[in-house]
Amino acid sequence: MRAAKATQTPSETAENDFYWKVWNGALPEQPETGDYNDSLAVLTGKFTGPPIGCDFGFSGGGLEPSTIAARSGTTVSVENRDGFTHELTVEGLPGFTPLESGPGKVRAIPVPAGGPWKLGDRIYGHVHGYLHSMRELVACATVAADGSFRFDDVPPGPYSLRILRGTDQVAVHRVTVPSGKALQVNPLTLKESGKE
Amino acid sequence: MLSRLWYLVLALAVGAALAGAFLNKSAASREAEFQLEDQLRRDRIEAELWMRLDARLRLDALATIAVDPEVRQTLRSASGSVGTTSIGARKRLSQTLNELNAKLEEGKGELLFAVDTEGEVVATLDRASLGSERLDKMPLVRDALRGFMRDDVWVYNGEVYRMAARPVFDGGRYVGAIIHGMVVRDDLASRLGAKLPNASIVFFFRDRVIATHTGGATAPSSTALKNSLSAITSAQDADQSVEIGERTRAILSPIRGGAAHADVGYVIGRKGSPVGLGGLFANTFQEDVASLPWAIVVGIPLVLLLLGLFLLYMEHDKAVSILRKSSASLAKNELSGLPAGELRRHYRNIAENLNTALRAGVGFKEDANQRASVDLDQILSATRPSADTGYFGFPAEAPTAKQAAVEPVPKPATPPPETPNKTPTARPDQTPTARPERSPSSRPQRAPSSWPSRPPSARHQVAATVRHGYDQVTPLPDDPPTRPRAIVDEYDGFDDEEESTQIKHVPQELIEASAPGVQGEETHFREVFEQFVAAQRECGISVSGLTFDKFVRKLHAARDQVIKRHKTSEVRFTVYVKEGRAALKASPVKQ
Repeated sequence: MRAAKATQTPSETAENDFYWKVWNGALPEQPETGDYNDSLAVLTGKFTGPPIGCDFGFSGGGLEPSTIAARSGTTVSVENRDGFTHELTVEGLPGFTPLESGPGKVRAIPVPAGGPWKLGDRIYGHVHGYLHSMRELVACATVAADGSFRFDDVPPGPYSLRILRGTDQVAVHRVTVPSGKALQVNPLTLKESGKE
Repeated sequence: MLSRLWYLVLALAVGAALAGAFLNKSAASREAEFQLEDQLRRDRIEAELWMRLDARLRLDALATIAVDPEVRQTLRSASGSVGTTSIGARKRLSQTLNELNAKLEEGKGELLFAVDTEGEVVATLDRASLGSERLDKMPLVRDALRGFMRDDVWVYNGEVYRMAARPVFDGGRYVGAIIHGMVVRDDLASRLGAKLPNASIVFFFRDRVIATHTGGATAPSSTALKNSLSAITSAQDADQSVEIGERTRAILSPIRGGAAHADVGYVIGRKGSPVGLGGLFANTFQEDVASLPWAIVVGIPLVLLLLGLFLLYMEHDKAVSILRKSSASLAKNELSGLPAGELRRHYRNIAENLNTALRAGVGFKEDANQRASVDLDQILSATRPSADTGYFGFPAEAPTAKQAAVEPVPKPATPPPETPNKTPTARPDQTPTARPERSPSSRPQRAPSSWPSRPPSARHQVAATVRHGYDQVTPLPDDPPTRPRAIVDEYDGFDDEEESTQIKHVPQELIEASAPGVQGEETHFREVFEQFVAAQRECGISVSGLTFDKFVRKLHAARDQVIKRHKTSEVRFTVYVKEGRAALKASPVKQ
């Protein structure tokens, strides 16, 4: 997958978040490396089983990945894998109440049709993400820092490979998963996303 | 009038002073409120500066941990290989972190993490929590791993921590970071409060108070701040302070850090000083007082005071003094009237009115009903050139007390029955105790034998009575029932104590001319004049200079007063002799 990596979010650079942010005086500061944490690869198609690999959670102090997807009319679980409490918010989603979730706790989000919805954390302002509702969601895969992703245990058949970033779908590619062997796709060129 | 203006000026000055005092109080209250708001804004700036300095101190203190060889070595070995650090190395690093943390003393943290370049926690103070924990998505950790020293505030498992992080480098490369956190407790509030005297401070996390400090007796209680938290945090403008009680305000400041997103902040509260009527003057400095233009502040009021006193003297005191002295002289008979010409305005009017009253012989009102006639002595005496003599030749202290007892008698419709004529004789036993002693020399002796020598033929023409004794005067039986006669009859008995003398030399034509109307009155006046002149002459008193015109003017004045007083339309005058002088009596004729 070829695409620009994510840059720092505005909340991370807000000057009101610190009194001091100064160079250490010894080694030059490292550039922001970025990652694909804000991207999610999904397969959509005719598959009625539960979505494969669509488990999400808090890790390292933020959502991993920050863009998540769920099949319309089902629920999506967000697990707190951190050692501290989070309080997930879903902006604009009716019937969802933010609650504190301690380490190891899971919050289930009922996902109606529509969206996407903005995700956040009432305790940590830097946490942000988007929840997409997809009618024919088959499988989810996080994108590694090098841009690679992998779907496991996908039934053979034709699917649409979609790359979601923020509120946008930045790539789509039709694939057919063969029976009994892996499918490797060529690198995808991502469109410039309108939002993050 | 000008002196009254001074009272107006005084009233205005007092009103202005009171208004000024109250306005001053209001203005001072407003000023105190402004000052309080300004003070709170300065407090917030000072608190921010102090916490900025505190963050820097914590960052600097972390250097002792970041340069520790074991920390650097362990993190170097952990970096680049997630999860490969052995449990033993982690435990040793945790031990080292505990020891290093303890050396920070006041800067000792409740949280201390050593993270590798991937943001994974390699070691922490809590050995039990050692596991796979990552902080790589926390902005503080990300910045520290990039080489920045940075502070932050976290909400970590329900507690609020002031965080500090600095990178750890070894061998010319970044190997991780040290993350340090101190929980926000009362000690932080107290340390901050020490920099803000008389201020109370409350740190809060949402609606929960996590640290408090009360600045003393003059500071608002932390409870008051707690109770007002919702009002303070819901204020529209966070830059403005909020009134939370009487003369008490508080200002909100969100915490600087990521925890501000979780509604963590602090409130500084202060109580203003009370403002009295003194208001702004309470803050007046001695130099301000000394710099006052005292020559103007004291001089102008003094000049105004003297001017006011001068005007008061000129307009009132002087006139009162003149009246006081002249009235004293009047009482001593040294003056015949009040000096109205020396007085002005109301005092002149008073003097003129009193003079008029003196001339008219006006007495007290309660005596008026008992007085049937007016003694013209008093009315006429005011015009005398001297106190002793005049046209009529009787003194200023002419007796009036007995005349005041005379009651008016209704005019009978028919002439009264005639009474036997009596020859008037002086009453030897008369004792004029109500009158001042008269000098014998001032009164010519009258020969009693002069009365019988009058021609009897004139008796029936009597039109007026000249009394000089106590005997009742009655006309002779052959007197015609003329109008003057009727008047004489009306007053029979009124002057029982007076001696009476009848004048019987009035010409017949005068009596005939005494018809009602102006002509009759003029005739009556002339008749009275002639009787008066005759009586004076009989008493041996000169009448040179006394003209009919002057005499009539006096009679007119006396007549007007009697008419006014007794509500009558007609007045008759009677001549009589009193103490060797001719005297006049005015009697109202009732309709």
